[in-house]
Amino acid sequence: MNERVLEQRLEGWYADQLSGMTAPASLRASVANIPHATQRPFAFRISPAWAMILLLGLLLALTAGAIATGAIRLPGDALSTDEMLITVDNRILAVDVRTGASRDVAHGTLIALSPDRSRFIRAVSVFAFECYVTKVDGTDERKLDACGSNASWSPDGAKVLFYDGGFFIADVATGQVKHLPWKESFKDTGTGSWSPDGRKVVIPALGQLVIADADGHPLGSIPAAAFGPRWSPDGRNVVWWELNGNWIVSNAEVGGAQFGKDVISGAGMFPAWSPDGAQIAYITGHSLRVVDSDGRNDRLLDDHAYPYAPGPQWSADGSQILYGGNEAESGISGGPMMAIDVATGASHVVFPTVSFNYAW
Amino acid sequence: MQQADVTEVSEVGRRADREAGTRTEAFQRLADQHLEASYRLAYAILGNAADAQDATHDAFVTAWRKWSTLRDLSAFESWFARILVNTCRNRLRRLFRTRPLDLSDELRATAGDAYRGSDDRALIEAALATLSADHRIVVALRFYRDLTVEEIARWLSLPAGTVKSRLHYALAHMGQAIDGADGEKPG
Repeated sequence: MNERVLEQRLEGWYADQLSGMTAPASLRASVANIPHATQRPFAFRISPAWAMILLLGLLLALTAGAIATGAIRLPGDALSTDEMLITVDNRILAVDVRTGASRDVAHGTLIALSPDRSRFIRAVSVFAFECYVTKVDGTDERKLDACGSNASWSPDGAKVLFYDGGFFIADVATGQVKHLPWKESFKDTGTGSWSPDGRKVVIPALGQLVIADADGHPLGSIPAAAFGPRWSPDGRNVVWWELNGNWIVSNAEVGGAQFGKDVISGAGMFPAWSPDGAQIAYITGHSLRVVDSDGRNDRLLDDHAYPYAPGPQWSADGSQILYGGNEAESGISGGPMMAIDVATGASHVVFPTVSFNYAW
Repeated sequence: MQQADVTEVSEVGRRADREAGTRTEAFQRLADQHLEASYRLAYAILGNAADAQDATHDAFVTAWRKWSTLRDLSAFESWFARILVNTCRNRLRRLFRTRPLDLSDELRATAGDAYRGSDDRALIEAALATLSADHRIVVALRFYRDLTVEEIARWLSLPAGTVKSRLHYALAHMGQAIDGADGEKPG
């Protein structure tokens, strides 16, 4: 069914179902009685200074106790390559991909993990959406001046390209942002990505893939309704996908004779380069597949994958892929997070529930 | 204790009572103002009156228990909406655990009805019922409450990209379910 037709039918369905509907009188009466029937919220006045002292004392006691009993361990300066970050119920957890052991890192939603794995961007929302640069020990380094839903960290860790309806680049050291002039495509385009040398970005703007320098000055563009472009590790190409379910590798050498031309393409979404650039993992239907970057040797890894963003992610050594498992296996809202060995096809459950926000 | 001290303590107590009374009145006023819309939103998410009534009531109880944490009353709507949606989500998840999710037979039967000329409302309802709790929530907020993706993201404390992804998947899933059911209708 055409998506627009379905949207109109949904709007009509809700209007038919709910227009003129009123809450039952019994509900109105019971809600009015809540303050009398339910104990008054506990509240007391305490000076901010005493509150801070008490809170610090409590935290020290809890932390000392937890360390003494081994309930928590002191994290290092960076995540190990065996650990991934995942958002579950507004908590960011570090999960050991080999064992599934997890530990709490921070609250909020994971946006992006830095290339050196020492920091991450997290979004928190009270009544406004805010982004923080947070160390992997859970302490905040700074708040950014603007917040986005997707982000790509520059290779040197100094800048972050954000997407949130539009695009902007944040300076990690200062928190300041520079908004870029391009509008998003009509659907979730995902963020862009940085070239391996950190000198360029590729941005999935409306109707075009824009290639710009690190300050956002445009260098060239490729006509495309593109989603989630990712730069190849050798810096020559970008892979992206389009809503009709095709992924495409385009030449991204601005000024070159081949600039903008398709290199290879295939059916699927969420294409992701292996760290050495030799392979591309992607999702088609409920299948996780891998193809060599020359378009050959396309093969199925798992036919029980979950077709969700952000799609498959490779381990740092390229030996494994992390992805969402099939919905039917849990029956509620997505299957488990899975890891699969690319060479052997052996897979295992990493975490019991799938997440829209994870990074490895 | 000196007389002046007694007077001062009494005044502090009265002021506290007045503040508490004002807060209680504020809760009752805001609850009354938002009751109808909250009930309809719960119905849009849960799909039936009994669950909607229970969820709305539970959400207001939760709101009262957390009432002292709401410092800015003008933020009540989004603050309470989040409580309501979370209550509905928990309720849906409990329901999913106790009801089978495979509604393919129901969809096929409904598709047959639609094909025979009755309206397609039941088909939409059956397709909605195949969605997970998280997907049903974003669909209701987008197509019933007419919120933008950014507003939904703020209500749910989610990145906008996640909301879009859920919407996209939900529509694709519903479309496939309806197309699949239509494809098996009596020829």
